[in-house]
Amino acid sequence: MKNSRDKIVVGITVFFVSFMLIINIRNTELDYDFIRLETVEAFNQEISETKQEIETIEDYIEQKKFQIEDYQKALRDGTLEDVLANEVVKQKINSHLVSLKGPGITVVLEDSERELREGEDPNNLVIHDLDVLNILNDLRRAGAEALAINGQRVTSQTQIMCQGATITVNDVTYGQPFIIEAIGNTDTLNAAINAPTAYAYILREYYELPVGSEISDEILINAFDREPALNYIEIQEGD
Amino acid sequence: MIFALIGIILGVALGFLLPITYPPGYSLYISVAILAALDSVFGAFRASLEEKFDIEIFVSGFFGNTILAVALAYIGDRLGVPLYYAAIFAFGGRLFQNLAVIRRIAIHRLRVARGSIKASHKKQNK
Repeated sequence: MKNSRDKIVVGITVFFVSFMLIINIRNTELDYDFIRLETVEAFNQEISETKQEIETIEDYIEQKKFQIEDYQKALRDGTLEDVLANEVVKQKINSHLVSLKGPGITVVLEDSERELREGEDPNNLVIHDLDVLNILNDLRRAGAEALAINGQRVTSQTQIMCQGATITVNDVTYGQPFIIEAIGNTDTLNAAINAPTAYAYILREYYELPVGSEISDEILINAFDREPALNYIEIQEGD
Repeated sequence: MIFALIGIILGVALGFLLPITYPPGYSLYISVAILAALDSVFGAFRASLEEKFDIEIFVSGFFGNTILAVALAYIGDRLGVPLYYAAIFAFGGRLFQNLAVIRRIAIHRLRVARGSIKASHKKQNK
């Protein structure tokens, strides 16, 4: 080796050889697994999802702590009755037993009156229970807090049943039009009806069914006016 | 010599530190490439002991042999014939040959240093 440039070049090549040698040994001997970028991405996503879950659980715990604090404070102040009265109101809202009002959207569904095209299924022109259910689900996804169909409150026990041209809700049968009312964020509720991915939009644009929707600042939703039939459920011990 | 040592130390250190992995399917190519590169390095060591080291020959041999070995392994894979054996035998055989020459030169120099024989120039090959 004559000059320092040669020595540096030799040093660099030797560096490469030893580097590759060690990498190779580590890969074959130490049970290193080759992981593709997609796998890394998937794992990262899983981790972030789990973190999010943990966060929501922590939020929930925090919320419950506040609630306990509120109760203890009420106990000390002697205003426990007020707190319990508030609680009763909340439970009433949850149990569908009070009438509610708030901003929301009204959706009107009717059978189509257009001529049947040649070979077309007549069912395409009729509103079915499935259509109503899908729209209800869209509204719930959009954050609807209370729902009613033709004035019948939609509870956890509400059935929606197709009977020819009529729909039975809460054991009461209604003819057309079917009016769905929902209380919630009017922007998201409107999107749940009129956005191109919404089920109601598909009904209107592709099946050409007359689907009307109107936003209003105050929508009244009646209470569920009968006792819910609770024959089988019991409260779980310790909850 | 110092640069070569630094290179080895750096390479080993980085090899252990960096979390580099590759698909198991490439393991053969990398092994053959390492063999070819090792052969070049030993050849260079031998040449420098014989005092006829040429940097251009070394660098071209280093990369040329490595690329040829990998290409041979790849073509062999495509054809279903284990052509990489050619690289293993050629470079492996030359490795031992180089080592033998290096050994002879080293022992000769040791003897010269001990004074048991007189320094005679370049008679020690093979």
